[in-house]
Amino acid sequence: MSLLTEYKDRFELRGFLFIAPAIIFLLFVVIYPLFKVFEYSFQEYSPHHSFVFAGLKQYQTLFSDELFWISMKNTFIFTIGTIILDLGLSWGIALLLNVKWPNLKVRNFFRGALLLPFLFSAPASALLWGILYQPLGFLNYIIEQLSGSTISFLGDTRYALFSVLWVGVWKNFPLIMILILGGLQSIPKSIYEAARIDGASRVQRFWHITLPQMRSLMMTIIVIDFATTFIHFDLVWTMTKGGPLRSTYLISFFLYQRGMQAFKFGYASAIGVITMLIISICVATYIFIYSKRVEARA
Amino acid sequence: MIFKKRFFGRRFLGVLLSVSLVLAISATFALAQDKVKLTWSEWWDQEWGEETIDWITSSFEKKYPNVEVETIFAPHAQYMDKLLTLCQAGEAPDVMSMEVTWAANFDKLGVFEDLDPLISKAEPEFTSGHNPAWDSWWKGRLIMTYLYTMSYGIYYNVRMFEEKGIEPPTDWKQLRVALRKFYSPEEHQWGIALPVAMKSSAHFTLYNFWTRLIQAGGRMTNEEGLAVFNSDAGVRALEYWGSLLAEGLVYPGTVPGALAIGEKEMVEIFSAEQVPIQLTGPWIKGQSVERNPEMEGNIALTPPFKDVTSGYLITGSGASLSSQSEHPELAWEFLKHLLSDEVAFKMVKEESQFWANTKALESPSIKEDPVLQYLPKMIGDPASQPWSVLPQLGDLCNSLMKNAQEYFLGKKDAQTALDDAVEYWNKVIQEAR
Repeated sequence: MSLLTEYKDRFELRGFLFIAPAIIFLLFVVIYPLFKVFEYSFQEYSPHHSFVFAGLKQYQTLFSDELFWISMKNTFIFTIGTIILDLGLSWGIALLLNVKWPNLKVRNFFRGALLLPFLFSAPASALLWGILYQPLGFLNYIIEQLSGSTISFLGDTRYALFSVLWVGVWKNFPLIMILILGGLQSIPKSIYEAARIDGASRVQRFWHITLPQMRSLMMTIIVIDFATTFIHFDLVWTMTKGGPLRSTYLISFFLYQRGMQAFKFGYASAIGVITMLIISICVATYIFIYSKRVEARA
Repeated sequence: MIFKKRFFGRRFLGVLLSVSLVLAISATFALAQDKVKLTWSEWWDQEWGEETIDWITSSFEKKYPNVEVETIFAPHAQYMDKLLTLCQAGEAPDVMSMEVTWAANFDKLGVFEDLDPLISKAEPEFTSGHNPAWDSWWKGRLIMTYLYTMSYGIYYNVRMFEEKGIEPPTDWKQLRVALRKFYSPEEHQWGIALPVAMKSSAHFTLYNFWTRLIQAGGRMTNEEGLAVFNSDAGVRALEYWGSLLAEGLVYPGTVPGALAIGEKEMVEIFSAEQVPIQLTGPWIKGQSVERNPEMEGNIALTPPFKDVTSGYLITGSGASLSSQSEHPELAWEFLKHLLSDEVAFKMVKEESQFWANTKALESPSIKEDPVLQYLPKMIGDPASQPWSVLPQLGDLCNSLMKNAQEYFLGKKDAQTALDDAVEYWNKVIQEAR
């Protein structure tokens, strides 16, 4: 078989024609905007829709901007906190829903009810929790009855970031819970049976069967949760707009305000590029470590 | 034969009807094509009602039968983003409703027509009702003019004041006295709520700080357009609100709690009659009545206050013309229509809007309206100051709010907080130039 024939077999022209629409679509909606953002980050916007080359100026300004570092710090705390709570809560509830319940209808009711927060839109969730967090709202009424004092959930720098983080977790954990529950239910029962016959305890079964079986699903969940939480905007913006004292100011606010409010498109593009790089590096590092561990185990 | 004739007759009738229909559609389409389309972007559909917006456009279309005005509506919160997208796509509306807070930013896009040559050449019918104080200038160009104007003032709940048997305050000292009389934490009642959450930084800057600053004899910016509010008057203004917070006279009594209160919460609390006083604009009437119909006829504006000066902040929302318009003359005619006596009198009478037309402001309906009655005096006061066009105003307000919050929490003194804010403001202003 000649090299050309082999090449033709492997790269069938018809195959490329079939995937061409998808590739063209991706080129227009992903690759081209990505390239433009990268290009704009080295430029400065001037009136009448023109960009002029500015070298590394946007990046220099960005790294010397105090607000960038504040927003980065908050974003990392917000993202990591959200992932930890999302996973903790979702795992706990998924495990509870996965055990045998005396009444299947009750279990199904809880499974349905726990999905409700996911169905709320972000502004609706923000409004609901904004009311609950009110200085004289329901939560503070309970806290006052128990401790005699109240907490300013959204007005106190000590609690504001955690308060908005919790609303994000409340809204998103049902999706993760359902994914984990689906993963748990797809583990063959025969493995657990064999382990039980061999005398493995409940903890050992969880540690040596459940967790390894769920590892690839967990990687997907963590990667998606990280990437979406890192650029989170709507919920926190509606609730605090970054305050008090910028304690809830996220990188997405910084990008939005510089781009859409101050119309500094070059600067906003630089923020976008750095954000994308951070997400890419974190996700790639996580996947690399995960792959190495899987290889080591194999 | 008869059958054939009938058949032919039916077919002929059918063809005739089809041809007529096609001709009618084509004629309608051709007529519609002949009409000039003018676009007007606005955010008032919900506030004034679609009927009012339709009336404004149709009354213009009556004057210009060859023009069709198309409104592009977006709620205020989404309006700026939508307009930015349109401008970036090279499809800026011919007439753009505009806030002075956004004007400097949109000017960066080069979308504004300079209104100065148009206004200076306008006929007396227009100029006689126009006050130059309602024009907004930026970098030597007149980029927007107000459609309606107002001042922020102290509004109060008439029933709650009558029940307490106290008169509405007429100065800042009396306001403090009134707040003390309404202070009743055990009944969850306070005198006033302040928009000191970061999400309402613009409200705090404009309603509370700027108004109090002018009354204390200060200015936000100097003749060169640079921030100078770190003056003694600025310190007095900030310390006034800070002292009310420290004394617990502001809902909900604790400083960190108050830092969670934005304008939305203020409106809710006022409408629920949990606080009887608000420093805001005349729209409080519509907002409160919508939430609590019993507030109808229960809201009034206090007489103008006087501290070092009796001035207030002159503000409003306006309109700009697009430099990209294909019909600049008609766009200008539409802007004149928006400010005409016909529209102004209707807006004053039916919408309680303080329309930017000097003749309409003399309307008896304003003098009889408890929400508007003192506004002409406040705006007309020589000590009142117009709101200057500033770049990145949202960002500037956030900076002032952040520093004010640090002062309220005792992390900075008032002078340092204002010095830091002024430093940031001037950096942004100079960069924009």
